[in-house]
Amino acid sequence: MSAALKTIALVAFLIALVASSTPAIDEEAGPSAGITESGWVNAGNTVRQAVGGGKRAPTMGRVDAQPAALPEDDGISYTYVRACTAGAGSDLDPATCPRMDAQCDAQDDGILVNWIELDSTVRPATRTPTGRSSCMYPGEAPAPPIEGVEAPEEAPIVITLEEFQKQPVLAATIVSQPSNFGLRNAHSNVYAQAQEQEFTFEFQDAEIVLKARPVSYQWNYGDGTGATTTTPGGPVDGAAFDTETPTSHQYTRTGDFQLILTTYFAGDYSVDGGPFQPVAGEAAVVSEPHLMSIWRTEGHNVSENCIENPQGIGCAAPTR
Amino acid sequence: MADENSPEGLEAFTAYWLELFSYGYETNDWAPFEAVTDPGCRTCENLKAEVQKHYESGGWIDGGGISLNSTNTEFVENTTGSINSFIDITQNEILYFDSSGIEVKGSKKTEPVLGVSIAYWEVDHWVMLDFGSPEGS
Repeated sequence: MSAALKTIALVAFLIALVASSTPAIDEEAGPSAGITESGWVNAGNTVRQAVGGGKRAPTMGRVDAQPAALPEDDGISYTYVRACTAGAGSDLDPATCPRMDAQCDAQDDGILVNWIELDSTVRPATRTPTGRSSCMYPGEAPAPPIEGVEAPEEAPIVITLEEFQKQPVLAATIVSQPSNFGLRNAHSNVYAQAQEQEFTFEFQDAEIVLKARPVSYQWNYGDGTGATTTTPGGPVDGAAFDTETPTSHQYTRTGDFQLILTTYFAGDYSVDGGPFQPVAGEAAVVSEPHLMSIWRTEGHNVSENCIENPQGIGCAAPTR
Repeated sequence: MADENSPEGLEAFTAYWLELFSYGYETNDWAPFEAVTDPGCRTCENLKAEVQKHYESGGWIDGGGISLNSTNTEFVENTTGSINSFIDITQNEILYFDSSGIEVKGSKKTEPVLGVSIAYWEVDHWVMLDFGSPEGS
């Protein structure tokens, strides 16, 4: 097979990947342009696309007269080098290898390797980086990149947001301080307690492990206002009347309010023990409504207690 | 220096290219970015499309700047004539505002992320061919 044909096969594979991973971004959760979100995909070795008269990158320049011929020994083989030490010379930062190899976390002691094409049809044989990399694990021979190009006949299993939403993700618990009470115009501290959760289920004959982690919190305070935070908030010390926190809220009226919290969970899934990859979109999970009882304060100076003067101020049951 | 065909030139170009990317997040002006980016970069297109979608809905974005912590390249042409680098990057906090100025979503500053960039020296300047996570990870 010629190098040009390999390139075409590679490009076709990349196109197939794009087509198969339709990002079903949840409308409600909103888009995300963060580099670690679903938009971050593998970078592969491709040729320059011709735009505005741009030149194509030089290929190996060998032309095969019978492109449909069966693959035979074409003198091309592959070898690999450890990615983190390649090109580092003598000044290797000790943090470089752990950082790079952290990408290969499907098993312990994974190593990121770069693939080198060995062309023995010329003398001396040439070594050319292919621009492709893969993970190598102890006791396993890593697959050369060429097999990775020809093998993908089955569409990869993709867990969509729809599938994610079917999982019984536990809603966050709402906690307010102190108890369910708050004071008008004061900062009432409320916070969420949400947990990372893991689910294992069968999907298209594959075992899926799905991890859900809370990423944002949409608060509906029940008084017509709301907010979205990326922090769940947390408890504050003491009586906690009027302490401002990232998730506290000031009610401007007295009364009972039903606070509704929607927690958005991001999902990462692994197919048959493979590497974890993100689910496109976030699952929204609504918590049980939480009652907030908001009161006003009134101060008076008195000279008797309620036993001495049961009709005194503040001795009757409180009113709003 | 970003116009030099050398390891230092490529590193300078990569930093410059990430600045153009960051500029796109803040302004939704992608012309300078597209001028030096190959349309085959899927990560670039994905992220750009999300940013554009948000601006088209009338909102805007604050933050999202990507900084380059370090690069590591052998500076050897690969089989298609381009150069691979491993890049260690961090993206700042992103705040999404809707058309009425309300913050609707946010994402925190990332931990350092390892990525791969593949650049091509086109006659007299660098072009970014691809950018994303290493294959096989």
